[in-house]
Amino acid sequence: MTDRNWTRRGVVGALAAAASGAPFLPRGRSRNTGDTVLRFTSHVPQSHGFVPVFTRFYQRVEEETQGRLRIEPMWNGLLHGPLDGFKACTTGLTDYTHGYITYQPGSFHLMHGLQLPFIFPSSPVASLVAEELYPRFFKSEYEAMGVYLATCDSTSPYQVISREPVLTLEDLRRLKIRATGGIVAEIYRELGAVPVVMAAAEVYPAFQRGIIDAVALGVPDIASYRLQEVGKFLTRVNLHVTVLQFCLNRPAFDALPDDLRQTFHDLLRIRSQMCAQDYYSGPVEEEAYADLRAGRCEILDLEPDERERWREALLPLRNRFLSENEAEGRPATEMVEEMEALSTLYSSLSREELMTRATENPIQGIIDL
Amino acid sequence: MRSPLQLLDAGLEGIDVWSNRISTALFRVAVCAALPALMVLVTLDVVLRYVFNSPLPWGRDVNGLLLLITVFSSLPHAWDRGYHIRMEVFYSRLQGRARNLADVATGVSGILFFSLMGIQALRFAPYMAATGETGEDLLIPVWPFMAYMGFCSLVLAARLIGNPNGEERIGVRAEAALTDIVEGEATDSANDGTVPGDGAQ
Repeated sequence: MTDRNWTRRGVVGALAAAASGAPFLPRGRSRNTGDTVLRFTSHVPQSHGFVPVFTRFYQRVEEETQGRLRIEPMWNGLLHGPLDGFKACTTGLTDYTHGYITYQPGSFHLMHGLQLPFIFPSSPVASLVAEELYPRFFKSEYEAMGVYLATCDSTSPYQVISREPVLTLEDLRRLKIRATGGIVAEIYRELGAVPVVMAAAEVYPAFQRGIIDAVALGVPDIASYRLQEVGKFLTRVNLHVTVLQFCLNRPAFDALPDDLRQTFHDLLRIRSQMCAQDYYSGPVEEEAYADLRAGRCEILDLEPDERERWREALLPLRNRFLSENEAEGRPATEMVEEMEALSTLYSSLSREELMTRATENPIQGIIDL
Repeated sequence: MRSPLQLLDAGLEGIDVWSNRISTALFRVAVCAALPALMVLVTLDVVLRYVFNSPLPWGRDVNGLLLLITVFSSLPHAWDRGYHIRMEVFYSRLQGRARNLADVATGVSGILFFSLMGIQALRFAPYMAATGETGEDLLIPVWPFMAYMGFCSLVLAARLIGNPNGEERIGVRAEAALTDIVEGEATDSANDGTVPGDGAQ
C-alpha cells in the first residue's frame, strides 16, 4: 500500500470517527424559556466612545427586569465583522448586533430617505423620527432581512473638515472628499465634489497624504480619528445624518416571556435616545468641538444665502429619490413629508423632553408583540 | 470481487482525478482572468484618482470581489503545489508513518474547516439572493460570488481527501515523463551507439 492510500484511508477513518460523535454535540445555544441572557456583538473596539453608553443601558435592562434579562456584550469584532451583522443575527451567532442599511444598500429603498440632506437638525431628533416612522414605512423592508429592529441610532449631522476653507459651493467643487456609499456619495457628487469611498480606518493616512482633500463626518468621529491634526478648517454644514440600525435575532426575542418582551421593547426606545444624546450630541459633541479648537482647527459657518444655494443644489437628488421610489409604488413623498414635519415638531423639544417622550410614551409597533 | 478497501481506494482515486481537473480549471480562472483584471482595475483606479481626479466609485467593491475570486480559485491548486504555509520546522523532520499521521491530521482539520465554510457559504447564497444583497457601492447582486466561494471551498476539501499528502502531482507526472524520456533516449543510444543529448552536434 502506498503512502498516499494509507493517508487517504486515515483521513476517511478519522472523518468517520468524528461524524459518529456529531450527534452528541450540543445543538446551538440554549433557547430554554428560563434563558434570559442575550448576546450582543459588535465590531467596535472596547475603547470606543459609545461603549460606556451601551454599558449603562445593559445595567438599566438588568435593573428594570430585576435581573431576569441580561445582555452579554462581546466587542472588538470577536464573532463577526461589521458587514456580517444580518447574517450573524439570522444564523443565531448573535442575538443583538449592528444591522446597518448603509452596508447593504441594495436591500433597502425607502429607508435610504433618512439620509436625505437638510432634514434633521440633530442626532436625538433623527433617532426619534426614524423610529416613529419605522412601523409604517420601513418595517417591511427591514424585517425582510429576517431580523427585528432593535434601535435606530443616528450620528450627529455631518460637517466638512478640509485643508483649505470651504465657504461656498465653488470651494467644494472638484475636492476629493471621503464619504460613505449610496445616497451619501450622491449628495457630494451633486454638490460638485468627488466622493471617495473608503473605510473609516483609512481616512487619517489618506487625508494626511493628500489622497483626499476633505472628509465628511460627524464632529465626535472627526475628533475620535484626530482629523483636526490634518484638516485645519471645519465647515458647519449640518448636511445630513447617518441613521445606524441595530437588529435582533427573532427566535431569541420571541423566546422571551411576554412581559420581558414588552419591557425590553420599551427599554430599547430609551437606548436610542441614550446613544443619540450621550454620544452623538450634547457634552460629548461639545468636547469634540473643544478638541478641534485646541488642535487649531478653525470652525466656519455657511452664510444663510450660501446654505440656501447648497439646499437648492441638492433638490434634484431629493426629487430623484422621490420619483424613483414612487415609480416602484413606494410612498416616498408621504414618508419624506411626514419626516420633515416630525423633524420640525421635535426640533423645538429639549433633550430632556425628548428623553421623557421616549421613556413615558415609547413608540409601539417596532416589533409585533 | 473487490474488497471494500479497494472500492474505497477506487472512489478516492476518482475524487482525486476529478477534483484535480476542477482545481486546475479554477487556477486558470485566477491567473488568466481574475488576477489580470485586478491589476488592470487597480492601475486604472490609481490613474483616474491621481491624474484625472475622478476615482471609480465602485472600484473598492470590484477590487474586493476580484481578490476573493483570485484567492479562492487558487486555493485548491496551492494545496497541490505546496504554495501554502507549512510548519516545516517539525514537518520536515518527520519520516514514514509519523509524516503520514501529520498529513492525516492536516487533512482532517482542513476538510472540516473548508467543508463547513463551503456549506455555510452555499447556505448564505439563497439568503443573499432573496434579500437583494449588493456591494456598498457596486449595486449588483453579490450572492453568485458567495456561491463561488462555497464551491471553491468544497473543491479544496475534495483535494484534501484525494491528495492528503499535498503531493505535487504535476511535478510527479513531469518527473515520471522525464524519466521515460531519459530512459527512452538511453535505450535508443544503446541501439545506435550515440550519447544521450548529443543530437545537436
